Amino acid sequence: MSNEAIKIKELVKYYDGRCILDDINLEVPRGCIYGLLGRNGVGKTTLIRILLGLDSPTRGQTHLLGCDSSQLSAEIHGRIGYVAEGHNLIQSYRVGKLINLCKSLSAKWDQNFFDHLLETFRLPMDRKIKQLSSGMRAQLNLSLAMAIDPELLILDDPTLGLDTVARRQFLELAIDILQQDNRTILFSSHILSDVERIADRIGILVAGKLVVDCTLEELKTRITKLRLIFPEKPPADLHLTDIINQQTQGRELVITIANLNKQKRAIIETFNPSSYTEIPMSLEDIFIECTNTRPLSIVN
Amino acid sequence: MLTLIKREIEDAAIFFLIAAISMLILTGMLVYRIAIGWESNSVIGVPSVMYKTLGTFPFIFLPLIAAALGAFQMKLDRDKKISSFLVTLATTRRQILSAKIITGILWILLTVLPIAVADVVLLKVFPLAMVPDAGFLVRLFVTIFLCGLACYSFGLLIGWRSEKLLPALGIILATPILVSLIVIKGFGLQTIIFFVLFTSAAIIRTWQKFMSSPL
Repeated sequence: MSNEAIKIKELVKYYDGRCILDDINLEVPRGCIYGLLGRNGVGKTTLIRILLGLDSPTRGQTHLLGCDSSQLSAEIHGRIGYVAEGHNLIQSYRVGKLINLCKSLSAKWDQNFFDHLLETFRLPMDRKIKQLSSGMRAQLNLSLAMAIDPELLILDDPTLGLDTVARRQFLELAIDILQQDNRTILFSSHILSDVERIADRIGILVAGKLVVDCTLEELKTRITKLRLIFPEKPPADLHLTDIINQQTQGRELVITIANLNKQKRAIIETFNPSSYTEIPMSLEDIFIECTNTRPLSIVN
Repeated sequence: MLTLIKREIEDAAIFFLIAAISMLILTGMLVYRIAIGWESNSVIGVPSVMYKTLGTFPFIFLPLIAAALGAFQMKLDRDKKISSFLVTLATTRRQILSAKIITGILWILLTVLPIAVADVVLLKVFPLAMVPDAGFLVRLFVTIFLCGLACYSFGLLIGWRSEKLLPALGIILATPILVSLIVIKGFGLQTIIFFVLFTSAAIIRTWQKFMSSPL
């Protein structure tokens, strides 16, 4: 059995002559909760669709649970739960009918757990899917994905379009579910606080490239924001590798830098700043710095 | 697989309803013509009672509705993104398409078999002056079945499109051409071979398209 739940090798996807995904390499070990981040339109959904065999790559290979994505068997599909962006359910069906369909097409179905979810969400069984609010659709989609007790759960921006209460309710439940052992989760979102709460590994897509792939702690350790105040104007010749962003205002220079080490600190010291402060960064700060500027690679 | 077939039948319920009602009416007409108003003359070797009764439905409506059913199945799937949802459950594209094709075959059988059975039974009970031989009846109904299947396959092929006009036009234009082959060549082996080849080509192309298209 392969140790990776998700494996992507040299994945390239062109669409209408535009490069959507550019040489993506990624391995997500079993039991990992992976947060895939990126701005709208950077290729998160395309990546997930290729993984699930819903779309084909231009080049490269993707594997889910050790099986090639383009040849996923019904048995493998039965071990994967998927909550699609926009909750793509059969709109003309009633809730009850859709549940029965999913139940009969599932290899494994935890009725007790599903009943518990239905009770929590109070979903109307006789209403058509198209008549449900987006919050209810998200809840139904998550319930259906969870009822099969999936080995791998793929959540593609599941809280998109939900109000604050529904989002919180959804996340609380998701966190409960995520506590279970040995379940791999790929969680794509651009709501960073959501990802920060549950992910133990982070990937950031910028312009089709995976520029960050490491643990959350490592990401926070490796990216540093420095505020340097100089007695006079900040030096123009402060050249360091891995600078993500650099802003000057008066005597102040704010640098966001990756892999800050002794050598880099020593170089900064040679410019004799009168003040040297490290500014703590949240995931959101890191994300904004990474996505607003030139692509930088922090891949393990 | 059974669940997928059941789902397809439910989605195409209107087509099955049309088939069932048409068959009831046609079988009733056949019984009436053979049992009560029977005639012994024949047209191109087919007893005129059968010719008149069977003439309308199998050669005009069955191929047209079969093609419409195929196009409907694929168009509905594409527009409502049904397969893109189904394929994320414990199933595969191959099973989804197979379920569609099996449903289409069931529909054609449902429309052809009752008339075929009724014909055979009635001809045994009320023998006509010119009774067609068993081989002819087999060729007749096999040709009708294959004609329906060819039109259905064409519908499947043309239905997997985002626009509506082309599938509709394609069905309206292509169905009469396919059916006219029976008028030209009759119920012979050549017609059967043509329909088998046409159906195979259409199914293979649909299969290839469905397997490789983004869902």
